[in-house]
Amino acid sequence: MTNNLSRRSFMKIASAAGLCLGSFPTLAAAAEGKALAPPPYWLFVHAGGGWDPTILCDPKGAKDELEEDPVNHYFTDDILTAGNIKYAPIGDNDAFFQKHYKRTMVINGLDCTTNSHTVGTRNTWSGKLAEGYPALAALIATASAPDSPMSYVSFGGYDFTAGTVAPTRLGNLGLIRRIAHPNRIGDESDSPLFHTDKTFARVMAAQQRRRDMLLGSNLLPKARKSVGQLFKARLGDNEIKALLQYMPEDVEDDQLRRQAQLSMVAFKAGLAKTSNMTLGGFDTHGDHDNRGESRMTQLLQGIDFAWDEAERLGIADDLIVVVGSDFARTPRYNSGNGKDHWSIGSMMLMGKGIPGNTVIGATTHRQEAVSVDPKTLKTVDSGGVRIECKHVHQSMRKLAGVRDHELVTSLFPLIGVEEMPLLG
Amino acid sequence: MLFLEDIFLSSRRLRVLGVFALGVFLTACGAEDEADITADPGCISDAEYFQKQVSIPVLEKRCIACHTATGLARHSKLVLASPSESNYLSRNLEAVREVALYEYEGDSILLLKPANEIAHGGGEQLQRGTADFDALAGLVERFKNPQSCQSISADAAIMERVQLRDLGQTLRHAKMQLVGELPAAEEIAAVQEGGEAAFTSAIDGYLKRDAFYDVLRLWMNEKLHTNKYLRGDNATNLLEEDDYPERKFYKDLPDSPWAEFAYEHTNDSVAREPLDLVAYVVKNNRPFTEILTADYMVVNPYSARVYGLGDVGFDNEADPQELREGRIVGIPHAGILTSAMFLNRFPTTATNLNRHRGRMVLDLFLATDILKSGERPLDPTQVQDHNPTMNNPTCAKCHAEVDPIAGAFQNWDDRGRYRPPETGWPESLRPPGFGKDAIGSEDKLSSLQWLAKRITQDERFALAAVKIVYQGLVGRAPVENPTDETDPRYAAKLAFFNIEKDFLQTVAEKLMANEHRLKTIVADIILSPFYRAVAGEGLTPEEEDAIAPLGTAQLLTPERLDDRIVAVLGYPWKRRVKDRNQLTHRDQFLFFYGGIDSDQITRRITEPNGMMANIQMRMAAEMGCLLAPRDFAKEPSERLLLPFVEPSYEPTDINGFEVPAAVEAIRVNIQYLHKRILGEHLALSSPEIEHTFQLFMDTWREGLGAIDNDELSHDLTWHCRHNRDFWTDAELPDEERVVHDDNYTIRAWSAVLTYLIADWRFLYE
Repeated sequence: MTNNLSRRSFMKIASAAGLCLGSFPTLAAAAEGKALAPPPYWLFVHAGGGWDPTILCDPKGAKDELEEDPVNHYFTDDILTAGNIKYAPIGDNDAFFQKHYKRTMVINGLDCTTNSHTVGTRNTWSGKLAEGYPALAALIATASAPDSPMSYVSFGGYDFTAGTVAPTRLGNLGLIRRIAHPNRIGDESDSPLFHTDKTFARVMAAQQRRRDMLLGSNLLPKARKSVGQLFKARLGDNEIKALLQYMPEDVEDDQLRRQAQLSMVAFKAGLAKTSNMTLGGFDTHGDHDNRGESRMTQLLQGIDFAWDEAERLGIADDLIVVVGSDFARTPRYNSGNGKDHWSIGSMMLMGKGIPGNTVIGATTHRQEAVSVDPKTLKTVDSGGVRIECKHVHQSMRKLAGVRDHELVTSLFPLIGVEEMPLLG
Repeated sequence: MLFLEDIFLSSRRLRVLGVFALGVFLTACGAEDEADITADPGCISDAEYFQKQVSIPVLEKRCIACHTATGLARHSKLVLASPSESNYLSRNLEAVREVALYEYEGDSILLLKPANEIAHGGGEQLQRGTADFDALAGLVERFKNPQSCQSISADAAIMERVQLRDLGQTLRHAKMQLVGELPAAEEIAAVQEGGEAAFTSAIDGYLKRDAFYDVLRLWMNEKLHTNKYLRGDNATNLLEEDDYPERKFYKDLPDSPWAEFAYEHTNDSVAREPLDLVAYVVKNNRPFTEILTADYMVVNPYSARVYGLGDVGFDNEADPQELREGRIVGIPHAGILTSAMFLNRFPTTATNLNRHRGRMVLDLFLATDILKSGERPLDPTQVQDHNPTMNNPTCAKCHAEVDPIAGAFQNWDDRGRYRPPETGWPESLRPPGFGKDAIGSEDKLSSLQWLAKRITQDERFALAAVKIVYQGLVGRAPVENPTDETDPRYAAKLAFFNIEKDFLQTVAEKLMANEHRLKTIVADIILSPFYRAVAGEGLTPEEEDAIAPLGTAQLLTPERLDDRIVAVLGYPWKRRVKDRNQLTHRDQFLFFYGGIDSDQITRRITEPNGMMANIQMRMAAEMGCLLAPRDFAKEPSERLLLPFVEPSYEPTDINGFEVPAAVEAIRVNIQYLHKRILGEHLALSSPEIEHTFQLFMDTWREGLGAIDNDELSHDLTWHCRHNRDFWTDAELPDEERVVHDDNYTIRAWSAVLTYLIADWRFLYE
C-alpha cells in the first residue's frame, strides 16, 4: 500500500483536517451572521460497557418461569410495541418509545465482530476495528464546521480525532464568562481589562504574524500541525461568547442530562456540529437485570431530556441522535446472574433524515444475527449480508454529506463495504 | 552566540541522524558478521523482508489463527507469537528460521507444509507460483544465504534528513521538564563544550533532585491512575477497618500542629503509595523490577500509622516526604501488585475472576495490549464449545495468556484485601501461573510474589519500563503496530512504527544490561531524535507523512504548563499566593484545559479548542499585567524578566527624538525575553526583535496619547498593582509598591510579556 497523494492535494486535505495549515479559514461566515456550525446537529450517545439490546429494542423474553436458560427474565408475552418497534417491558422503555417511535429507527442483528471493549467502542463510532480512524463525530465536525472553535464537544466515549479537529470538554460552567472574555478581569460586563482593547487586539495581531513566521520555517509536520491547530482554535475568540446567551441558569445534576443540556446549548449557539454523550455502567457481568435496567432507564431519560431541550431551544427539527454501545451481552445469564460479552447488538438512530418507526435487521430467538438482502434489507434464510458497523457508518457518512469529502475519501475511506440503503 | 537562524536554517550546524539510525538498525539486524554488511541503499534486511513480505501478508493472515501456543497447531513445530506482543516480529522470525531448517527431500518444510505437499493439518494454504509462496521461498533462500544491511532501507533513510536541536537547546527543554527549572548559562556552555558526555552528566545530576520524582510520579500516574484516590478519605476508605483499625486516626486527634499535618497528609500518603514505591526504587538506584518484586511497601510517617507499622524508624515523624520500607505482618508484598490502591483501581468481580487485573498487568508491565487481537474480526456468537475460554481457539488466544495471570491474583479479593480463598482456584480454569509455568502449591499463598518474579524476568518488562519514560519525555505513547492495510497511510505508519520500535528495543536492551537501573536510560531518550527532532528540509509529502508523529511539539498539559510558568516567569498563575492555581485546580480551568482527574477523566485533550485558546490568552493577559510591575519592584540584578530596563526608559524624548540608550536597552531586554521565555537566540538585528519592539512602541504611544487625553489613568489597573509581596502575602510599604505608570512603559512591557507568553513556543513542548 502506498500513499501517492500529490503534495498539492496532500496539503489541501491536510489543511482541511487541521493537520498542517498553510492557509486559514476566515470568519466570513460569522461576519455574515451565519452559524459557524450549521444544522443539522449530531448527538452521539454511548452506552459504555456493552449494553443489552434484549432489554431495549430487540426483546426476547422467556416463555414462562419454567424456561431453562432464558435470554431474559421478563415474559415474551409482555413485550410491548410502539408502531413497528418492539421493546422490552422494563424501566422507562414504554414512555420512551411511545413518545419517540416516530422519529426512531432500530437496527438489530448488528454484528460488532468483537467482544473487546476498546475495539468494540472504536468500531461502533468509527466504523473500523483497527486503530487510526477518527470518530464519525470528528469527521462530520471537520468537514461541515471547519471554522468553528468548538465544532466537536465530547463528554467521553470514543472521541479519537486523528488530528482532524480538537474536541472540547466543558467543565465548571461558572467559569465560562471568564473564558469567553479573556481580557476582562472580572465576570461583569463593565469589569476593567488587563490591557486596553486596542492593546489586546495588537497582541493578537502580532501573534498572527508569528504564526506566519512559524509556518514559513522548516518545522516538522507535527509542529506545523500544532501551530495550525493553535491558531485555528484562537479564531473562535468572539464566538464563544455566543454560548453565554443560551447558558442555562441551573445546570442539571444528573450526569447524562447535564451533557445533553450543554450539547444543546452548544448546538443552539451555532458553535458545535457534533457532540458525544456517554454513560458507563453497562458492563453487567453480575446482577444484570437490576444494574442493566437502572442504567438503561438513566440512558433513555438522558436522551429524552436531550429532545426536550432541543424542542425548547427550537432545534429539534435539526437534530440527529445516534445511540450505540461497545457490543451486546450474552443471551443467557451466568452464575452470578450477570451477562457476559456478546458481539451481536443493536443501534438506534433518531431525528432528521432518519426513517422513523422502522426496524432493520433481526436476530434469532437466541440473539444470533440474521443476514439481510443488501438491497432490500429484508431478512434472508441463506446468503445475504450481516449488518456491521461499517455498513451503518457508510450510510451515516452519506447522510452527513461527508462520504465524498476529500478528507474522508483520501485519508479515512471505508474500503470494500457493501452498499446498503440503511437510511434510505 | 548561537542564533535562531543558525539553528533552523544553517545546514552546516545541523546534526543529522545517520549515526543514530546506523546504531539502531545494526542492532536490529541482529548478531551479524560486520564483514557481510552492505551499504547498498536497495538492500533489505532479513527483518524487514520478513515483516513486509512474509509476516503481514502470509503468517498473520493464513497461519497465526492455528499456529499459536493455544491454537489448533499448538503442538506443531511452528508456534507464533501474537501481533499484540511488542516483540512478536523478532520472536516469529526466529521461530520461522528454526522451522525452515527442517527439510524433506531437499525442500524446506516451511514450504512443503503450507503447500500441502506433505501432511499439513491446515491443508493447502499456499500454492506454488503465487506471490505469497514466492515470498516465503525468498525467506528460506535468505536463511541459506544471509543478507545483511546497515538499515532497514528507505524507512530509516527518511530520518537522515531530520534536524535536531543542539545540546544547549535540548538541555533547556530537558531541565524544565525534569526539574522545572531553566538551566544556567554555565550549564549550557558546559554541555556545548563537553558534548554528549557532559550532557549525560548534567541529566544525571537532575535525576538526583527531588523535583524529578514528582515528575516521575506523574508519568506513572498516567498509567496507574491511582491519583483517583487523592483528596478527602478516598484512599483510607478503601482499607478494611478490621485489618487497619488506625486507618482514620487523623480524624480523632486532639488539636495540635501535627494533627493538622496528619489531617492534611494522611489520605494522600496512602493514595500515593504505589507511585511513592516507584519513586523510592528509582531514587535509590534499585532495579526497576523492584516496583513489582519489592517484599515491602513504601510508607511515610502518616501512612505507616494507618497500616499499624510502628517500628519503621523515621527521622522526622512529621515529614510526609520521608519514605521508608514497611512490611505488614502476614501480607506477602509484591510491590505495586499487592498495593490496595492498585487492586482497587483495577477491581474484579465474581465472574470477571481477576481477568481485568490480568489484562492490566500485561498492558502496564509487559507492554502487551491483549485487546489488540480484537482488531481482527471475530464471530464469538459461533462459539459453541463447552468452556470456550479453555477450548475454543478464538477465545483461548487471549485467555491463555490472561487467565493464568488472573489466577495469580486469587488471594486478593474485589476490595484489594488479602483473603486467600478456602475453596481454591476453579478447576475449570487454567491453573494460575505465567505463560506455560504454573504456580506450585508451595507458592500458592504468595502467588503474586511468584508472578512478579516471572514478569520481571520477561524481556517485555524492560520494554514496558522504557515506554513509560519515553511517553513521559516525548509526550505521547509509542505508535501502535498498524494492522489495517486498507488505510491509505498504512505504509507510512508502518515505516515509523519500525523506526521507533527498533529504537525502543535498543533502549530496553540497555536497561536490561544495566540491571534495570531506570535512570541510565533517561539521557538516551532525551538525546534521541524522538526528543530532539525539530525541523526537516526537502522532505516529500510521503516522507512527511511517515514522520508525522516525530518530535515533541506537544501542547503542554495543565501541570506542565504550570511548571513552565513558574520556571520561566517565577510565579504560578494566581494573583495572590493563597488563591487557587488557575491551571491545576479542579474547580478552575484544569478540566477545560484538557486535564484529568484519574477517575472519570483519564484521557487528556492534546489539541487546543476554542475554550483552551481563550484560557491561554487569559493566562497570558493576566500574567503579563501582573508580572511587569512585580518585576520592576525588584532590583535589576534580581529581576527575572526586565533586568535591562527601568520604567523611566522611554524610547523618545518629549520632543519626539529617539533616545538611543533607552532604545538600545529596550531592544536588549526584548532579546533577553525572547531567549528566556521562548528559548530563541536572536541577533539584535533580527526581524523578530524588531516586531516585538514595534509592539512595545505602538502600545507605549497609544497609552501616552490616551493618558494625555485623560482616556487612561496614570495608575495601573487595580488588579495588577504590586501592593503585596507575592510569597509572604504581606502588604508592602508605600515606597516598595508599584502603582503608578505615568509614562506608560510598565503597561507597554505588560503587552510585550503577554505577546511572548501567548506564543506557540511557550505553550508547547
